Amino acid sequence: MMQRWAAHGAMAALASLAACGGGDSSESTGPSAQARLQLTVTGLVALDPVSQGRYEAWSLDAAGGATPLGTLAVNGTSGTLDVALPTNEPASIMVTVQTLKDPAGSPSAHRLMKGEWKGGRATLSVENALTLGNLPLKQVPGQFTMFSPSDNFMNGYPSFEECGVWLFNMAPRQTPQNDQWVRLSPLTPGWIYEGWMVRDHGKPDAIWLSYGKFVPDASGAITTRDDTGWGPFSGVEDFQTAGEEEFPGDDWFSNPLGFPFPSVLRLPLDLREKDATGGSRWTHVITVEPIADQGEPIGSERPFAIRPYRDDFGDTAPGTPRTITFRPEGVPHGDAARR
Amino acid sequence: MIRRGAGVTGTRRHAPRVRCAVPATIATLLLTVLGCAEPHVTLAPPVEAEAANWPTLVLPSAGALRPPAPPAEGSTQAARELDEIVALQRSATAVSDSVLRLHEGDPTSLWTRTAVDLLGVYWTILPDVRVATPARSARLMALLHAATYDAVLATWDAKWAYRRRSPAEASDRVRLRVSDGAVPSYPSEHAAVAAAARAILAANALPGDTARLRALMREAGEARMASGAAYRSDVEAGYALGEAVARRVLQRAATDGADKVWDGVMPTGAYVWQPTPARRVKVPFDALAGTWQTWVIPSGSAFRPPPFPVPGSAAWLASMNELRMLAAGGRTVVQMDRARFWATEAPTARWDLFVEEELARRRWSLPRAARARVWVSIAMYDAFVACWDAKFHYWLARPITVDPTMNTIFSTPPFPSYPSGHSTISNAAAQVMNALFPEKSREWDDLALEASNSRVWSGVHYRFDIEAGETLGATVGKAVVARMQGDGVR
Repeated sequence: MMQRWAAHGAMAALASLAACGGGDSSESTGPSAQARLQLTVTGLVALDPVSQGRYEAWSLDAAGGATPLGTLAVNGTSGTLDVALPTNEPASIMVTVQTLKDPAGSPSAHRLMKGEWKGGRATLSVENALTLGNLPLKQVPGQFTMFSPSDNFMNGYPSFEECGVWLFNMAPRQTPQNDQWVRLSPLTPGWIYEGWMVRDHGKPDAIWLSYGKFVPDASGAITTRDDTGWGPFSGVEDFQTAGEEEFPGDDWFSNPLGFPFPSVLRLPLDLREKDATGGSRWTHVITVEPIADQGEPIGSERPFAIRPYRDDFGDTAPGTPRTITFRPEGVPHGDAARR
Repeated sequence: MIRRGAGVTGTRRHAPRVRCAVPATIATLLLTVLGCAEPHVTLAPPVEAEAANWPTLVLPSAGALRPPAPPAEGSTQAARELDEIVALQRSATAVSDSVLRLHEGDPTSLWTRTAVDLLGVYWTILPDVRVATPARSARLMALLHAATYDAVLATWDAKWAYRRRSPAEASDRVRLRVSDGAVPSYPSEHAAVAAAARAILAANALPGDTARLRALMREAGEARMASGAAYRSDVEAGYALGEAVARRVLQRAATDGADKVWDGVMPTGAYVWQPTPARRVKVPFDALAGTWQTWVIPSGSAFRPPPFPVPGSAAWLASMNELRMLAAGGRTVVQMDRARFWATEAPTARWDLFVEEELARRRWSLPRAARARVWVSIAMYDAFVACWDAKFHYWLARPITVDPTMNTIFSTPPFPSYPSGHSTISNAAAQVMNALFPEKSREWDDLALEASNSRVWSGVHYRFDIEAGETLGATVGKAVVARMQGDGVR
């Protein structure tokens, strides 16, 4: 028994040495001149360099000082970078989105992912970069609800409920928080959440309709309306200032103010619309967008790469809760390693 | 008039039988191996036959609406009804068995949860319809529980007047697929409660929901027949009895003052209530609720609290300073979450569900459980009336109106501030809960305190609002407990 423990101890010590780069003098004393850093990120979308910017990698020292490593080459959903490892061993590696407006040589507020450099490796994730502190993105945020208050004062409830979506818990007792408010992880200052209804998600001609951008409060609760207020397609209401709702969401009921709107769609929308196979044509998506997108003209919104929540809208009746599902594949992540 | 069920209380009148065509040991083995689709027959709670003599709330007595005698055992009608049950049991499926289980046990629990869910939807998405305002939610639950309580007592009266054996007892052709409650089958208590509850809820529900409620009521009766616990004549008599009880409760409701529309003029001046952000609802909710008919306390104004602290006084400033500290980042995440918990539904709904959770842990008879529900509901309703009397007597402005720079963690409710409704009804409910479940009194008191504090944490109430509410609620609660304990039930 003692011998077995001793053997285990020796193996554990060897494993620890190996994990720390033991046996390689260049790694224990600092990078060699030939050492390179290879970074691979998955889950990206190509950015328009003028309007959206580029993905930039950074080496951070223990005090948070940043040294640019270079711009990621994006191919499909992957981004790669192969550069000489900085002379000073990094404390962590970070990827940001840099726009033309951001000053050169320092990371922007759009911190996409970060990972601690340890033993010549770093696993990069959105925690502590995109999300505030070390919080992960919420795994069980709550519910979205089919509801269209636009005409309820005229036509009662339910009436045309299938033309709107709102972000609150219709069945609070079915949520971990047991209250009415959806929870999302607070984001660092460079980012904001945006809600969407997407027709034919995943197809080349998919239509993305934004219902607005919003941020949680310090506790993660979504307690305020989105940046388009009542909703530009809600009808005759003053959508910016009516103050009729306290949650993000919109009704696609009518378009009296003539905002740009896809010509293939008819108002009021039927978000329960089915395709030829009987499948739901509409999908609810929550993305994370650069804060610089805030205030973009209605009708010109486009989704960013970070799409952590996606659900078929489905065909269930008014008053039925719809659960928001976390999709890890919609969140970029990466690995950096010394080569 | 009422034949007492002496010697029945707390005992099983008969053991529920599950008849099988194979020897018991083989059957047991088969059931184990196959996972048996047969619903389990659970142990019935105590019966308390003497509940037929308990005081009713709206009916003159439990026997006031006693139905005529059921068809005699062996009669043509009884035989026809047995055939119907046999046919139902032959066509049973896993789906239909799940419906049997839904309607097993205490029927009032199912209808309470249905009502709370219904109000939850109205509360969340239809505030302007004003069906589920705080006071109206409390009123509806009190009416619901008064109707179901009287309906249960009325069935108890008839059950022991006629002592009809259930179909499963009367015929070897019928299997008892769930518990029959160990009570005589006529009239069906499940049908009576369903009919009473449906009528009360439908009178207050939106048109789209009434069909669903009727379907649930019909399902309850069908389930009891398919389970072998009730004949069709049991169910039909139960429906008739429940509807008759509900009619009387709705007659009372028609004159309780809730239909009156406030056409008064809001007072003006410093520290007087004004519409609050974000919705800025112009007409406050239920301005006349303080005049509604109460169940126990003499009137809404009977225990009116003293005036709130003078603005600028030390007590006033202390309350404002506390709110400003909280608004300036002084709230913890836990405080925010608990404030949201208490704000998510009508506050009465939270207490209604606490009662359900507590009853689910106990094996109380149907009448005793219905009694617990109705007195908690009545305490909360009377507390709301008392609170609304004070709110619209003093018309105190909300904190966000006095200092618009303060933030709240959700929108301020559209009615005056003093005293707090959450504090008033929670302390009234806790008093009754303490009397019903005394070994857990610390828990009820803690919940009431948290409900109170949550209103300050959220920024929608002053500290003195909740203190006045606590005192008022405790006073109302004690009055309700005194009345409850005067019914002679031990």
